[in-house]
Amino acid sequence: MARLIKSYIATALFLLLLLSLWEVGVHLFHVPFYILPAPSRILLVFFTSLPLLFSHGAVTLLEIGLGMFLGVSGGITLALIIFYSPFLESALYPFIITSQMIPVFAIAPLLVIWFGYGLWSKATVAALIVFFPIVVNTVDGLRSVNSETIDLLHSLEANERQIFWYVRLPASLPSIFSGLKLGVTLSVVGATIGEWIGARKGLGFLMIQSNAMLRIDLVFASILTLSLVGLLLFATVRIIELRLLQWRRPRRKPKTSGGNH
Amino acid sequence: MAKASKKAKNLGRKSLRRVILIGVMLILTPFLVGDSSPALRVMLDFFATPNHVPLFVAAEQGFFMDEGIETDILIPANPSDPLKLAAARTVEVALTPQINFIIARSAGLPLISIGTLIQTPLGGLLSLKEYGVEKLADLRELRIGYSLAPLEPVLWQTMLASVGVTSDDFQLVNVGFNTVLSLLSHNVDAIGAFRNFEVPQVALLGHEPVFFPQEDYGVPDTCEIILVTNPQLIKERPETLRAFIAGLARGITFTKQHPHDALEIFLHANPELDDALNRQAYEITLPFYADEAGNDRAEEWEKMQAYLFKNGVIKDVCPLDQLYTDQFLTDS
Repeated sequence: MARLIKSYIATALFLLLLLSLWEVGVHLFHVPFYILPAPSRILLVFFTSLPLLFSHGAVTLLEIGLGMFLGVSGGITLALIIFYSPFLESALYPFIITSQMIPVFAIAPLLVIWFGYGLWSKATVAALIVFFPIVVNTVDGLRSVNSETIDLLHSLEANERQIFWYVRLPASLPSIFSGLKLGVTLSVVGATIGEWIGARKGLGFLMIQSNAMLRIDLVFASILTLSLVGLLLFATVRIIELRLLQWRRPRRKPKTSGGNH
Repeated sequence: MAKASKKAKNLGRKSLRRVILIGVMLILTPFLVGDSSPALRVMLDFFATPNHVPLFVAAEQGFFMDEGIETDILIPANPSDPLKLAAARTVEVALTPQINFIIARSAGLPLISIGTLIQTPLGGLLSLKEYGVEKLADLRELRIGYSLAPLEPVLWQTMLASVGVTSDDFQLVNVGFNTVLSLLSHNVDAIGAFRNFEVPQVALLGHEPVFFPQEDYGVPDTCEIILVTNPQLIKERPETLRAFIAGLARGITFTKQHPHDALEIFLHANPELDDALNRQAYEITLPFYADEAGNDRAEEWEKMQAYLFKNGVIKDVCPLDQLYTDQFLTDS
């Protein structure tokens, strides 16, 4: 517990140092407010615009939630298909990797035609970005069980379903959570980019509109809100992970996460 | 073992020092390089389009050189960059729509207009005949797509109000920047558009455009592209600015007298733009280039600013002499 508090103090101190450097730098070098506003100004706008940021943030959060749901369920399904069918693996994997090279703006028009300007087009963009780390990490997790264990289970006449539920799935949970932590961070970016395609509400929408009106302090206040949403989501995944993986919590933290040792 | 770790520590310290040194150098570079560049940096309002033909003509034909200045034409990464960068003096002159400039002025950016490139509005509402739209009032109960709030909704509401359609009688949809696509896919029934770009564009794609110019339906007259600079520059380098405006005025005159040659010069400088759409866009734009790069219509400035203020787009008004100056225009 003491250690935990200590680590928070370190974060807070570093944040304070960064913010003061920023504040001092802006005043010292006379950086104009429309290029980079001072943190004090951003915080002021953040607090005075809270209702506005909250109403836009709620829309973005909904898009993120839906995107996460689609991305995670799709990602895990794909991972299972890839793991159990070598044929489909070689058929699908190149396309899954290529899907990450496509800039969203190139397919934005398609998304708009298929899903319109509402919630679904943003959720789809988020899901497209989220599913990739989920697939890769889940496949790695499923493969992390060593062959001796499987041989032993086979000799005990366990069937594949039992092996999956009792060994493979628990063994792959740590990697799945690594993927989830990556995915949840990326989903925030995904939903924001989705809103740039065209939206009526949301933090990405607010950013574009404020930038056009040269309200750069509001742009940064939106970024601050987005970061808070991202941190909140990350913390949520982390808490679920700690709950679910209590059985494997080591006495001392190993250097690398994931894997099953 | 101890020796090795000491060595590693030393090495770590050394590379840390190196990293810090490089970091400091990287941070300082922009301050060291600074404003030493002699060329006049001119940032376009958008990527190069036929709107900018006279500017490229002046640069390519050496009109700026004749006036004793060098120019560097820059393309922005984002439509609001030219205003910000001119205010911050990272570029000397920026091209921008008059309305966006008035908004930036009201947001507190130190800027002033010194001339005009396109002296008429180019915007308006675009629909297609196949959607059953013939007159503006036909948009009642239909969907209008826009990119940027609050400006565009204000403009389109003014236009529709002038034909008796209130804002409850139509729907505004934000369609991002893919406006033409949302129109053609019938996600909306009309979009905010430019008469010299989207109108020929949909026509070339085989549709019949129906265009309503904004100034015919209650929106005050405006200049589509003006030239702005930081007021400080007027004090420090008035001769450079005068030379720039003089060179541009010559570019405009040349373009109007030799429209065909001007286009070829422009396309030679921007070969990727050589297509049917840009050639048509140029034909439409030709009458709108500002004579002598002039900017001296006080009444127009006053009306547009009052209009934006009345509709809540800007929060305060600015004295006219802080919005624009005609001191660099050559007497004709």
